Amino acid sequence: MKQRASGGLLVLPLVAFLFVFLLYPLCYLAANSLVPGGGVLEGRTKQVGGWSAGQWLQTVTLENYVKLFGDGYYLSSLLHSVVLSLAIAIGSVILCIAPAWVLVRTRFPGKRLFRAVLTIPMAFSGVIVGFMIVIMLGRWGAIPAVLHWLTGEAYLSMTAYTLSGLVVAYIYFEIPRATLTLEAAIRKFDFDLDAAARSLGATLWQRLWYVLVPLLLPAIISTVALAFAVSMGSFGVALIIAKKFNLLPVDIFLEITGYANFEFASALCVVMLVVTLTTNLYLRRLGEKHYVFKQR
Amino acid sequence: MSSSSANTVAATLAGRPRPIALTTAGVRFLTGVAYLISVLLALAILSPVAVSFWGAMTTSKAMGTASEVGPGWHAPATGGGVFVERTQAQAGFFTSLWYRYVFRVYGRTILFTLQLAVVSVVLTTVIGVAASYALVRYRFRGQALVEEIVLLPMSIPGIAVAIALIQAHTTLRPTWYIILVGHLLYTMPFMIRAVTNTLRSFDFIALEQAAASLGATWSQRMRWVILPNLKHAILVGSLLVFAISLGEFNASFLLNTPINQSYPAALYDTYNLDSFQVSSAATTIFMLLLFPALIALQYVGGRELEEAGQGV
Repeated sequence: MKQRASGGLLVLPLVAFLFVFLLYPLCYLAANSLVPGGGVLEGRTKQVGGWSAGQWLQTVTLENYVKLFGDGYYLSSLLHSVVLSLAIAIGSVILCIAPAWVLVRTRFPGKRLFRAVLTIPMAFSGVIVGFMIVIMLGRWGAIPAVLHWLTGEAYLSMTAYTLSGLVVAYIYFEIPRATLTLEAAIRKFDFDLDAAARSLGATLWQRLWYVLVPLLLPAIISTVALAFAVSMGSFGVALIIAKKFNLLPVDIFLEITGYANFEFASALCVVMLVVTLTTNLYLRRLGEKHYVFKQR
Repeated sequence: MSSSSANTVAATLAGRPRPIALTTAGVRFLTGVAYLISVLLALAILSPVAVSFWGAMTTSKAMGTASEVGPGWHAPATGGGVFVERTQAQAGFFTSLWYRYVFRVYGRTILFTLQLAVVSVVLTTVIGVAASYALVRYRFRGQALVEEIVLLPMSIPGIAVAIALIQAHTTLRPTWYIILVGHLLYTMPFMIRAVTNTLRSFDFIALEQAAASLGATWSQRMRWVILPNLKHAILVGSLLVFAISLGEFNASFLLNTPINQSYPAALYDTYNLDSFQVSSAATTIFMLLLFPALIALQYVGGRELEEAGQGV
């Protein structure tokens, strides 16, 4: 049918956009990570993107990856990033079950406002969260200042720059993402199942452990996957407050701004992309495996 | 129904055990805990917001002095310049000096970010609605792949996309289009999700066929049948796109040039260069731009927001 064929063309602008500005750049990134590293330290700065296919074939090397995996520093950055992101993803999801539950299962005046408050950090970039943790828990943040006024001792001062400060800051901007996703999952939950379990004599813990948790597990796991990806990519917080921890996104940023070593930064990006995407995919698969009922 | 049969029913029920209560003491306890955690989370979210609004206007030195008004400040043409302003500012409790400073130094950046957000909304609407319609209405090869790739930016780090874009499109590097591209990549999923979810939720093909059987042309069907039904989804998608574009930092930070800087990057500069008061003023200006969009989202929201909000 003629009309059918022409109608499908409406998707073309999007496909062209994605091809030119997402797929091609990502392929270029992968290709460029195999070119010998430049950067000001090596004295090999060159025009970014200045190679043709022929040149590329002649210069292709694993130099960047050998440096990356041979150097304990970058491996530790990668490890820090992955462990921190996973821990934060799991922690924030557990924490956000509470507001998601409240939003679905209870009624109170001002619920929309409460929901709006919870979504505030959604559009905050990492730097803003970093600033906020500094004004709350920095050297002379609001909380130490209040504690000093109350007790005469500025407790919790400088917490912002420690690992716990980093964790708090990351959880801060995971709250809306985790809450909204979990809320949708809980809304879909069939509460008749809970009533059935109760009428069969299940205790509270049995209802939670054998009915609620197994049925919500896929949603919980996919929320973890999402939160993980967001944490991996967000480097604004770390840029402001991570003074003691080397994290992969910050290393990439420094490699570009400090040494202009685009080739090595590309290799770091490729590793980060591979790790993020495989972990994300694995978690999503895991979530699907736990579906008790088939999705529509 | 006669009263005698009602009595029989009551008599029968009287002999039976009472129905089991679903809301036991344990459930009430857990709900209480959930309320408590929620309230604490809301407080944790709001308190830094409150502190920055206070800091943006205060003359207090409780959080460090604001003696340094950053390097971008130029004395006003009339009056005694910044030193007089500062002395005046330190006299009362509140001052607008920090706001005036931010507007003077970062005013262009604020306008640029608004421009980016508005252009993102327009382009994601045009490209996204057309593509969503095609994705839901027609079957073609690679359809699932297209949907998967649109959502890809949500799960890949922005800095990697930025570095890829810089290297692959060197000619775009000095222009503001490259920042726009970064914003579009990260906002497109929200628009597409909002619109496709709505399109999948009702049988618009039947409506379209009905209109066609009455002789409506393709453009008439679009104008009078499809688009009116998508109005709400487009509104929710636009608000999401606006909010996300306004705060986008991860991808756009490296895409920025000294001339074209988006506001979150300017915020990073104020945090590094300026005093607590000036940084607070800059942050609260960002919030004042953002909050109306977020609150509007909650009030116009509904199902589209719930579904599109997943993976925000």
